[in-house]
Amino acid sequence: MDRRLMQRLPKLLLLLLFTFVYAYPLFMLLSFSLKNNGSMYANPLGLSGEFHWGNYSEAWSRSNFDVALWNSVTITFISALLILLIGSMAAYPLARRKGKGATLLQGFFVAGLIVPMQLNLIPLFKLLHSLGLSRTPLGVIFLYIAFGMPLTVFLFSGFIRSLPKELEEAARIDGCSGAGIFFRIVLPLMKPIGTTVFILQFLTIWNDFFLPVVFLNTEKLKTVQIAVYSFVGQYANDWSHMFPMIVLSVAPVLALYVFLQKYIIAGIMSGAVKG
Amino acid sequence: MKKVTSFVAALALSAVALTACGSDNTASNTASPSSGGTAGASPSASTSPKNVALGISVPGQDLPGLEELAKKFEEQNAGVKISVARAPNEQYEQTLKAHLVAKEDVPDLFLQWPGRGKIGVAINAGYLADLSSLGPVADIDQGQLSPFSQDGKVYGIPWAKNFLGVYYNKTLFEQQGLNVPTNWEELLEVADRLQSAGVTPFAFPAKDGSGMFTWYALVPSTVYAKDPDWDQKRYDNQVQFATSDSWKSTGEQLKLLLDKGYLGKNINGLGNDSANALIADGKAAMIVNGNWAIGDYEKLASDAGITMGMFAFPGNEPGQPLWLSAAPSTGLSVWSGSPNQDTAKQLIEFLYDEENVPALIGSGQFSTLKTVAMDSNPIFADILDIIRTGSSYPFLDVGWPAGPQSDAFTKETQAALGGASTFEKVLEAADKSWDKSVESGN
Amino acid sequence: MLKSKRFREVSYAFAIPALLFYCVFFIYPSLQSFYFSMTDWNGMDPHYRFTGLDNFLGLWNDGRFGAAFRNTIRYAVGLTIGQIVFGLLLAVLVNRGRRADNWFRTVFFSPQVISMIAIGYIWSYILDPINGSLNYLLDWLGLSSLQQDWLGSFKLAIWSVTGVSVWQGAGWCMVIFLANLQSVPQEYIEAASMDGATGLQRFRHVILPLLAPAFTITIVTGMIAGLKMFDLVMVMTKGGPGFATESISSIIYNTAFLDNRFGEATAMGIVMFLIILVITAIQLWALNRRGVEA
Repeated sequence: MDRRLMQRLPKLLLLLLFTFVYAYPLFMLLSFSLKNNGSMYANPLGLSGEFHWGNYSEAWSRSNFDVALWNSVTITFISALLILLIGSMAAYPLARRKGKGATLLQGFFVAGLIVPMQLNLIPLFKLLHSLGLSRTPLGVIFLYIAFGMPLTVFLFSGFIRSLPKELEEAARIDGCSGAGIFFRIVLPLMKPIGTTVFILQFLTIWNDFFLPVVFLNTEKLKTVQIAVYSFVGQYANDWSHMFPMIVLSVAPVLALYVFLQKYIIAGIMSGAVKG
Repeated sequence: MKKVTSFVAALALSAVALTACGSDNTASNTASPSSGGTAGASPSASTSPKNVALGISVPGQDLPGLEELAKKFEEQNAGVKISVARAPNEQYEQTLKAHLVAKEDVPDLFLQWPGRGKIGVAINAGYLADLSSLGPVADIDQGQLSPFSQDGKVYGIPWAKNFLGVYYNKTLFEQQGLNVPTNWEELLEVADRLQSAGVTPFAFPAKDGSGMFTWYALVPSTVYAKDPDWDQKRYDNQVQFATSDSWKSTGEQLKLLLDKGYLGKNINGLGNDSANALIADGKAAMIVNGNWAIGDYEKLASDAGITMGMFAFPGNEPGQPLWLSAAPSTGLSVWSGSPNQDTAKQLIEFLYDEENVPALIGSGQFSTLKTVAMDSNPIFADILDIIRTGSSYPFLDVGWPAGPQSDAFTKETQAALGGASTFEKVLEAADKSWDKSVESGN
Repeated sequence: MLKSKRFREVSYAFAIPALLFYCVFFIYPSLQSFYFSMTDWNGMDPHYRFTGLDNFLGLWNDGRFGAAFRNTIRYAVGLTIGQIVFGLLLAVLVNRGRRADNWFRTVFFSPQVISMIAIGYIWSYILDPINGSLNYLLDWLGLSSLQQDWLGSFKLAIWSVTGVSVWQGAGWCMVIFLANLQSVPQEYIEAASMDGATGLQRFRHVILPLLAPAFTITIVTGMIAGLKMFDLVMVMTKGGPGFATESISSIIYNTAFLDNRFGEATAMGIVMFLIILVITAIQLWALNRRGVEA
């Protein structure tokens, strides 16, 4: 018994250390959100002082947070789902076909993994306007889909390559169409990588500030991140309103994670190596 | 499981179908006035003042009273709809530039920063309407307007006077029997007395640009009071930073503050808020900052139970004049392509109306209008004289091409403060950056 | 429509929607802005000159661009290695099959859902040299000799920023490793224990090779995040002190929008694009040899 405890002890201590390293900044975030402007450093460990719960309600109403929340939720979900669908479809032929064409096409997608978006701003403005999509959530969703393609196609095609072909061939002999094979056989097998990609894209889009501030910066269309950073000023920031907004922007996603954690981990795991 | 996936697939497919139709709808929707900016620009707008949609973009917390006054204007002018969009500075500037260049969704009115590297670029590009004939222009000093002007025409109307100086803990000064320093010698003496009393003379958040602010605050007295045309000479390549005695000796002044320990330790990692906390705790006595930060120091003073004051940075040798570092705030401009220019100009005259200005600019600010006298904050008591009657020189970026202020006076200065470079090299970097910027047509 | 006539070959028609979005909203605007890299455009004025390759040649001698390039490589490598090491460690620690594990996992994952800008603000407070809690804590523990100017020191600042990004990213890696770990068949572990292998040996020789799929994903996402490092730098240090923490993204931003040299910034973007293309090609080549399976 004692020996077992001795074995476990270092592990447990490490776990507690990490918990502190992770929980402390989160705790600071919470404690900042209850402080007054200018009193952030009043107590370095952030433990005491008055609590200004009013920061929350004031920040909520001043920024129309409910509108922003709804916009963020819809944009994020629709974009991430469409990225999943479109990306997985594109990855299928890229992974399954041999020859230079497929390699070239994959290279074409992957090449876009990292290009700073800021530099394309002006052409994007003109483009969205000529399509009648400027200042619409749909325009931003389309941009997210385009920007999400490189990583998604890359991860999906790698995964499909690792799947055995036998099932697809059997289905084809049974007379399934190409689309039938993809939607009935390949897509369900892609659940693990699909979960991974969905979370990645969801978080990227939820936390993105750049596209919304450029294309959706109006009272009706704004997203959560715009609401948060509307309290950033030229030389001074309105901390007492910004931190509550940050907490409010984090809370729904974190709640979703807690709720779905089991499924997320199971999802990522379900297709992995079988030995 | 099969069911679930096919459901998701079907859902996603229908989403594709929906969005495909949706795009047509939204295309026609954007023509509605609700999207603000140019969208409401129907050809009839100029003939009848009815149904005008004005878009205004402003950065950060500028013009705090704008939203309220816009509502008032809407009430007084039936058919006018005003939408105000705010964004943090960097995103604001970036988005506005892209709008202007793409000529899409450009707001009718927007704020511009003063100076050659800022509003000057937009003026040269022809994006701004001439505002010289507007009412408020006559009530504003030429000095405030010139950073927004070119060839005698005014393209932006600033709303407040900004200045840099030294905020100080008045209570502490009184306890130590110290007076407000009026020249460099006195400043060193004050710093020395504070240091021997165990107080760091300056809280110096170099991470957030205190180095740059200090250059800005020093040179009006040390360079421009002696040679007000220095910038023009630099443009004409008659002088250089690295070879000008006045700039070199200013660098030495900074170095002296650093070497004597008057700026404290670990300044390159120190942020604004933390520096303010040092002032509040009485660990440091002075900090270089602008009038826009007054709210922070007011709050700080009342929380810490101390009195704060502000004085002009005394970089001048005894017997030489002390000049203030001052510049106009952002200024309101009208897009030259706006179909609603008349309404936009009406709105400007309304906003800058004597009655509305106090609400527009918020308390504690100094209006640019000669006709508006607002109560000044008691913190500014010591500096009021020089603001009202003394000489001043603008912030350095106003008269300069873009480049030197970030390359040399922020970055290289940090390096010098951290011992990785020297103040001579700062000046060399300034020359290099200046030439590069001018060469590339900025 | 998707039905392919050719036997066994999957139709490229599947890729049409993706290609459409990608070409219209990404490739087309990128090509348009690439043109500016050969001009002296200031980002605003409709009048500009064609300067050929001057912008590119200028970069060759630009010490600042070189510094940013070196920093970016440090960010990418530091973040990738850091988040994999800590992510794996966290995964092992919370893979005990206990109820409390769920709670720990949530805590470790939580930085993922906070935007980088917010994380940057919080950590700037913690790392403040004078009033920050880290130095305060070190003092309290009697370790004041370890106190540092975390964001102000020329040597340390870049690693402080990297450290914060590792803090943020490790939870993501943890989830990926966790999923992979839980898929390692129990028999492998049991078989290894029968051989008398210790825990560490077992981990190294039996489990680690089975984690290859998770490594693939975490390496790819880590490298990309590191190479794109921007928000954290802008919030925590603005590239300072001096140019010590400047990344390619932050220098592109500053050049384009603060210094009004849009053409030059676009040239930097293209150089970065080419560099990353080469790096990704190498990664692809190395990783595709075994395929992504997670």
